[in-house]
Amino acid sequence: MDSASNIAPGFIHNLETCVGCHACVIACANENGLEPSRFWRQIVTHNQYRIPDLPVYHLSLACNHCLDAPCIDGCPAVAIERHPKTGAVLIDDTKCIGCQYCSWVCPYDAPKFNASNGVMTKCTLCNHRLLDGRQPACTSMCPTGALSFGAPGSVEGVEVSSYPQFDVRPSIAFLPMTGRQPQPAASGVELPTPEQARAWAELEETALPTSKTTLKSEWPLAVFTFIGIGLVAWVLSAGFGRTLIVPEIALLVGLAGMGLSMMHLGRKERAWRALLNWRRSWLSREVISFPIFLGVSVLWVAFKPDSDVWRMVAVATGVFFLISVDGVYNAMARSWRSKWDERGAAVSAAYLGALIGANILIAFLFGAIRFAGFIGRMKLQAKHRRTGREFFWIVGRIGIGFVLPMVVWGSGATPSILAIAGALAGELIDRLHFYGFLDIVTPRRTMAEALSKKA
Amino acid sequence: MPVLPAPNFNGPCLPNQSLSYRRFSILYSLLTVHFSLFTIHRPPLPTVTTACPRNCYSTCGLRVTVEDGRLRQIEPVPENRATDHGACLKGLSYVERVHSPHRLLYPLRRNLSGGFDRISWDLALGTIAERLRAIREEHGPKSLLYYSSSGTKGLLNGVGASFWKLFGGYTTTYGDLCWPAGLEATRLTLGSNEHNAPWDLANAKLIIMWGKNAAETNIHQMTFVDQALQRGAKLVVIDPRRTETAERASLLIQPRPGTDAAIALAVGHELISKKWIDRAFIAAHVHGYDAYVDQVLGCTSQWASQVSGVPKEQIKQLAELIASSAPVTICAGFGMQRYTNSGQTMRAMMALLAITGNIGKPGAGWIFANLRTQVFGEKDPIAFYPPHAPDPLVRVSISTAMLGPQILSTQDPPIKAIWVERGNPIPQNPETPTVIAAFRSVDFRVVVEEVMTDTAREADIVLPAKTFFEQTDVIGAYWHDYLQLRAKVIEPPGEVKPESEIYWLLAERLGISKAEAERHIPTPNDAAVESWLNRRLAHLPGVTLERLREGPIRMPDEHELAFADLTFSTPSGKIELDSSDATSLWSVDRLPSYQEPVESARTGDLSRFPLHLLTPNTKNRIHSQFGHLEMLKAIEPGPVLQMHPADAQCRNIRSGNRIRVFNERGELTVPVRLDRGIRPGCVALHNGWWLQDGGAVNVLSKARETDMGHGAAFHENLVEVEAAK
Repeated sequence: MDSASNIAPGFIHNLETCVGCHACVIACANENGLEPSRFWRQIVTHNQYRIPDLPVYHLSLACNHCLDAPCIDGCPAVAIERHPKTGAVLIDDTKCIGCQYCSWVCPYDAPKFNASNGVMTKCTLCNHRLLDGRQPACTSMCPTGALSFGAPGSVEGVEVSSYPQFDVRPSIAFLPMTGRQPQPAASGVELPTPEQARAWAELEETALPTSKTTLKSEWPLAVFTFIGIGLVAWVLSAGFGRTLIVPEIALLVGLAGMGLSMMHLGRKERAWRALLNWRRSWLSREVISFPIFLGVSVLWVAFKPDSDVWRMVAVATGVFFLISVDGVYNAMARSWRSKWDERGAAVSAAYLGALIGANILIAFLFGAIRFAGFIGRMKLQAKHRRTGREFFWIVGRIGIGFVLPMVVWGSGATPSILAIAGALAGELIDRLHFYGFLDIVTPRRTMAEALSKKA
Repeated sequence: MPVLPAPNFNGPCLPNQSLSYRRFSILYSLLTVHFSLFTIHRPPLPTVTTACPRNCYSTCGLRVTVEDGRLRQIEPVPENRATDHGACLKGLSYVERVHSPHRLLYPLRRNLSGGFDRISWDLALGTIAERLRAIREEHGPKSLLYYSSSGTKGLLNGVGASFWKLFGGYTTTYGDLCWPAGLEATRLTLGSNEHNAPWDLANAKLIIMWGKNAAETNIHQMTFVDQALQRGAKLVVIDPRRTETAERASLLIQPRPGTDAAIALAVGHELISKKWIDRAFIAAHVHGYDAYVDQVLGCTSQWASQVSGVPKEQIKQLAELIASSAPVTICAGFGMQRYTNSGQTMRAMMALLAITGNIGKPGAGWIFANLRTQVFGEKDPIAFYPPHAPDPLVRVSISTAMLGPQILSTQDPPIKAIWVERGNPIPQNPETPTVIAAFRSVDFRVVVEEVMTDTAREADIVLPAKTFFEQTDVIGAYWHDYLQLRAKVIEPPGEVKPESEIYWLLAERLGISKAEAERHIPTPNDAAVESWLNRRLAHLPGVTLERLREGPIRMPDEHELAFADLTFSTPSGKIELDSSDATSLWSVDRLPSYQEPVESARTGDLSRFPLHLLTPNTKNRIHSQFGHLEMLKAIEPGPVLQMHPADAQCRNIRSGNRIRVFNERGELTVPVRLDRGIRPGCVALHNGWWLQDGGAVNVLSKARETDMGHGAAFHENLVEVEAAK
């Protein structure tokens, strides 16, 4: 660790002396005037069912003011910056557009959406107190002294296996449970037989905490990316020999997609700010490249259909857009992610483009890659106990989206509208599936996963 | 990062001061805005130092930040060494509580449809005076029951009793819900209720948390527990639940509730039979040792294991730990002494310290109650008892433990009016349904309250109560020995009046002469309150409000150790294992003994109510206070029954299910949370939820007294649980 990170201020949390009393949570709420529904700090408890041979301990968590803060890089609006004096990572609520992407890239569940003013809020490390020479409220008011303010890099911390492990250099250190027994006290109450323990676990609520994103909340983005993939496929198909859509329709569909992508913004009037962080944020790059791609490709088809230069520019901006789309999701803090999805949007566009362009060999090749990728995602999903409606997803994605087009195509010489419609429907279903299982890492979730493994 | 001292204006924040401060801060923020990137940077706000008067061990100092008449933040007061890291979450939640929309801000009168209407103070006091006069005329003044409880501590609480004497007399309660059995057992054994300074616990080599979950109920004690553990001490926790405190323990003993005396007697048996005792200490300072030896002769670990359900190896292990560690401190909780056998239980526990010489030394002793700050009259528990010679004006005739049944049975005169302040007896006293029936049986009820509690809902007139931030007072404590100033921080909101002012105004209307009233009740202004307090402090050399403003004062002196001189104010002058007073006052065995609790699954009908309902306290509330705050609801939204999965499995119950917990006295329907750490056969539901919350545990409890001290034995509570339909 370099010397800057050794002295960077942050939290030091003593696992031994924290009793999970929640005083830090209330101290923080008082200091920052927080509504109870939006506390910045949370207590995450290990082993809430008190399984006899596992310890109970608590983590007091807010923002870790990471030295490689993914929120600073990810924010498309350059609304998150590090304070030059205190090192606190701060959200400027006059710049935030309320897109919530920071809460997707943060593995610590720090940024919270404030519906009342449409912007994100999170722990400020009590920057105002630091500037006064005082410590943050939470550490100043911890009744046992378990949570303290200092330089996490300067203490001998331990790795907590039930805490999200992300390479972002969080400014938090955990002090070990040295004085505690390696195992909880023998209580004299007889331990259950393995059969009993299994039966009891059945009675306990073993479901993982729900993900912060659901298909219900994110479907406009799923549809927007689907539209983007479809439009890039349309442009690519020209390279394979033909295009099916008139440019006016492409323009309307593209604009509709842009409208959809703005639906979830807390502050729509500041949407333009999403263009600002093109240097660091894939989200900014996605936001910038889509209208350029749309404009270039519509103009090309409408006015310069024979120009190779225009075509190349359209394809290049389209591909860059899809790489950005994938980049947005690759940068998210997810508890599991399929390798196959890292270039998923681009591969899908190639499949659809080849299909529309009537190039069966290339269509089959890219289609098979997506088909295999989908199976890979399903398997990971099952491994992480995230199941539901498998039949629908498999039939929709593979049956309608891949097998149907291939069969239709195989039976005739040219791709029919049915084959293309099937492939598009399959792609839409794939996007919906992908969005339905964006399991963003949170400390609570990681804790629950770790416990269910141990138990 | 250096911590700069915050500016500290001791004393009330005057309105003009805060106004000019606000103007200044706006100007300041305009000037300094360039220093900060995003937040408007302001200098720290002024603070006022006060102290938390809840019925709680910690009695924390509070340094309150005030802005525009509102509490903003509550920081630690390091001068109070016992709580120098600051208040718990409840103490911090005053920022919401004081300004809560639930607060009552003006007098209310019950209307014909059972709701309440806002009325003026004039009408409220006029109505009260008229009703009280009529009742006094017809039935005599003793037909009024004055019930005050422990909701807020302070010397000014004494004004109430003075007023009711001016009224002509009254009836009141004896005993207490909280801790008299333990206090009396300690008084009989050690002569007085004192213990070493809180921080001395760090010197212990063995700490036994016997029925105490300090991590939730006395969080500041955990700092000293941790210091002791860092120095190599061991911690034993004896509790039917695997509590937060038990996470630090090397031994967790989980007895059947109510059987702790059997364990203590068996440990005594082990210590004596292995000769692990301090003979010299016993010879010099212990009375009745030989009789005690005879008493524990048959109390083998085998026997205690059968009684308590604890493996006999654990009992032997506890004896070995006591024998091999010096010094030993036992921290005894309050819940365990709310049984029909609990005074004797506490005596049996103290005997272990006596025979091993663990009294009067650093790191040793009995931490139950430290009443060193009770310097204003009779100490507890004597102060709870009916007087030897009846007071001509005051009838002390109703046992707090049996409030409901005894209000109903009182005659000559019967109870016709009830005045309640600082208490919420309907959900908190045993046998809630009987307490409700008793309240409904009387003609006129006045409740002074901060919010619309279950008790306030039964009133004819509800008067809005102050919070402690709204009137200066002085408070003691019962864990540390600091006397602290409970300084006024803000003006009462709305039409709220402190009780002393209510009594002053009522005295006028009842025709009590001004001169007479002035002798007992401060006139309604801050200066008069302060001079009243200074008069109460006058007998304490050097203690004045001015001195207290500088910081807390240890009273009556700065002694670190209790009983260091090994003199005991018992009849024998020694630690009494054999107490003739125990028999003459309470008709129990002269020696510590084990008696099966009256309500016991062993002696009762096991098939009907086989589960023991524990009703412990939680960190999220003090009894029935704080539960209505949004901040705390975010942490604990409502009542939940804790149950072992083995007990749930055979009843076809899953975690999260709604269940019915019931016995012949009542029932509650709440969700269940499975917990593999609780002793099977026990279920637990935090006490303090209101009827309005659906979790008032005393609908299930029985009104009866402890074996000594006139405490409430409401923790003896057998129930059955089934899935709710």
